[in-house]
Amino acid sequence: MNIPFVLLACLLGILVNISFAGTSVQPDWALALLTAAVLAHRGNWIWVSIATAIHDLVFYWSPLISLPWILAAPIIIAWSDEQIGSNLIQRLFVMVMVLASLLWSGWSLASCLITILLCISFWYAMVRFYAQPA
Amino acid sequence: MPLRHSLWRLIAAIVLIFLVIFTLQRLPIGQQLNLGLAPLITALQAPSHWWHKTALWLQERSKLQSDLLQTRKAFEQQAALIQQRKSLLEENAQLRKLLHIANVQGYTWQAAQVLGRSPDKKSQRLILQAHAIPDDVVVSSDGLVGLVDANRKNTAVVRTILDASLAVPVTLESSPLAALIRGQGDHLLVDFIPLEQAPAIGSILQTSGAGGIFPPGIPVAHITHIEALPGRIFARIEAKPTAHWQRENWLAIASRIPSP
Repeated sequence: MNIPFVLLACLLGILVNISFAGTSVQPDWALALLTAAVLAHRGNWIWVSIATAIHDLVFYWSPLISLPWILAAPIIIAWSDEQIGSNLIQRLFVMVMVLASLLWSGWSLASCLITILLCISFWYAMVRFYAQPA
Repeated sequence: MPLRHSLWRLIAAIVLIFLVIFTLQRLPIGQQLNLGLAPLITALQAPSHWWHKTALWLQERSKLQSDLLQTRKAFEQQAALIQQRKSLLEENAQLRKLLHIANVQGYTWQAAQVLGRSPDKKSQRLILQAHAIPDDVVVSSDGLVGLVDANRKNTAVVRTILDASLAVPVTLESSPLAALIRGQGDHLLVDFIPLEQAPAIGSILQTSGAGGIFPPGIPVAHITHIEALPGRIFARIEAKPTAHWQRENWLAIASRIPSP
């Protein structure tokens, strides 16, 4: 996966969020991308965590909003994969857990739902980079 | 042995992450990032500004002429009003002197364009295009918005009154009441008001001027909920800001005039 491209897209998403907040309901573009990246391959957690910290600092002036959930995501995925086998259910649970943090940080329910839908789309696209040919 | 080794590495990683988070929490990095992003936000908004300017340019000539005539008329009325204001200000200053009321002036005002805002429902943080310094007071036409937190060149970031780190000393108009308003994210909490002295729901609290940061007399919030807490001296009072900055494109900044 092209990490600089994803990071650039995150930056653009952050700029769009700040520039047009208040004009229309919009998703958290950057968090949708970053969550999708960690769901597609949990080994992405290092650069995803750094980008999430920057995302949190820009939006909330604090790194303790979405970052703890993003840090917990690969741990939960790894642990649950070991317990019940690799499955989609635990990844969906992790996605909802990470993106539900938006509700606590003052985003509207509509924004949160759009972000979940966007994340599923990005996740679907990113998974193809890691899919191994049979 | 390898298990013990990896356990130590895990503990070291966790400690490192906590240290980084703690450092990021303490430093004003978010504010500086916002200021650094301001030129990119301006560039991103440029097409919409060009569109707006082009739409204005394409307006019919006759409409522009009638607009010009109306503007001239309004300008003449404004000039008369300014003259009247000047004489009223002089009269006001004399009356204040006679009544021994403290001078509430001492601030310069400037308009500031809203460049960006945090994307949460209540937009707790704003980016303004203006020459301002930290602790300058930001207001809208409806009331107090917040304080300038950091600045760079002609950009400033604002912490609004909904932010939990900001406390505003307030009072009721012509009342000895003294209270403190604190942000709670999506509403405000009014502290230090005993239940028997609680103002009615809908009452508007305004800045008291205590502390010297906020000029007195600016509307801050209207009370929405009053609740008695058993065993407590003070009531739990919730309020909502009178200002609506979520959609405002322009705000005003009051900068303190340095005393000679």
